[in-house]
Amino acid sequence: MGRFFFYLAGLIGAGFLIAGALMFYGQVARGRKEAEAEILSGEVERFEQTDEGQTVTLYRSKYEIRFRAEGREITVPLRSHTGTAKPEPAQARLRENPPGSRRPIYYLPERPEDFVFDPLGRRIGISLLCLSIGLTGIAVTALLLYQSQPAEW
Amino acid sequence: MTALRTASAIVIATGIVTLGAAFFLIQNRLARVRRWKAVDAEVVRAWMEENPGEENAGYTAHYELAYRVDGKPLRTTARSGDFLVVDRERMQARLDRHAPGTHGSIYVNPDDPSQVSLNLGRNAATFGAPLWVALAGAALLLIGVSLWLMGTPGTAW
Repeated sequence: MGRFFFYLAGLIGAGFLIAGALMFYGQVARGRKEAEAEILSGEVERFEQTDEGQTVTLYRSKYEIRFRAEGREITVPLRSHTGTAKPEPAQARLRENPPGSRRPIYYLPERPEDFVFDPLGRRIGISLLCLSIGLTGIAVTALLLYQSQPAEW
Repeated sequence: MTALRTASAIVIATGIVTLGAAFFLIQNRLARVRRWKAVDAEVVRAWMEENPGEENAGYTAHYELAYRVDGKPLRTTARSGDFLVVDRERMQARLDRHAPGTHGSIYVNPDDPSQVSLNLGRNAATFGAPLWVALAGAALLLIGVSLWLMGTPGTAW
């Protein structure tokens, strides 16, 4: 039974380590480039979401942005990932990002349509957190195995 | 400073203090391994005690030992200091190896020969506990740095 937990900690650690490594590769190591995106327009979008049979009305910000990447001008629609029950938070975000303002985005040079908003520090932080939890899990297993060696006395 | 950054600063500081404590403990144990001397001891009495507390909390071996330092006879009691011996048979086998009348090496503090250690060496019994402290410190430090970086301000879209 004890050994089961040794290996369980290691397995969980390995899972987090792989997830962290993949995240680090996808978000950091692939070398995203920074570009300035211009907000062309913005509005509050009302949408419905059904969860466990209940339909709720939510609000989110919706923009159209334009940026130059690898010699191309790219215009894309953009929606906030999360919605709120009231429109005020989305309206506040729209006031912070008015049409004509510029914000940084980070795109993949070989595929500029694949872009993210998180700056490098935040992306490193998320992958490092997964790597840290993974390394801790594996180290716990290694230490438990090390300590399970029988002592002489 | 954001709440996340404040929290991560506390985690980082705790990690650094914990790592410092681990470093001190490891240095202390290394000094003991280098300085304490191995002497031959005779087992006078050996017994097992069940650790109080939860079910299957484990067993500890206790010994009464007779040994000599610079020709002077000494007697002491000592217990095994390792961890996770939850198996009674395993502990009994250890006691059987060190039955009364048998001999084995123990380690004596040269400054105070009445102080002894049974399982001193570059092993889990000596370095296990400091390594757990080091692991806790390193984990806190890494997680704290991760949280600090996650607190990097970005644009709320």
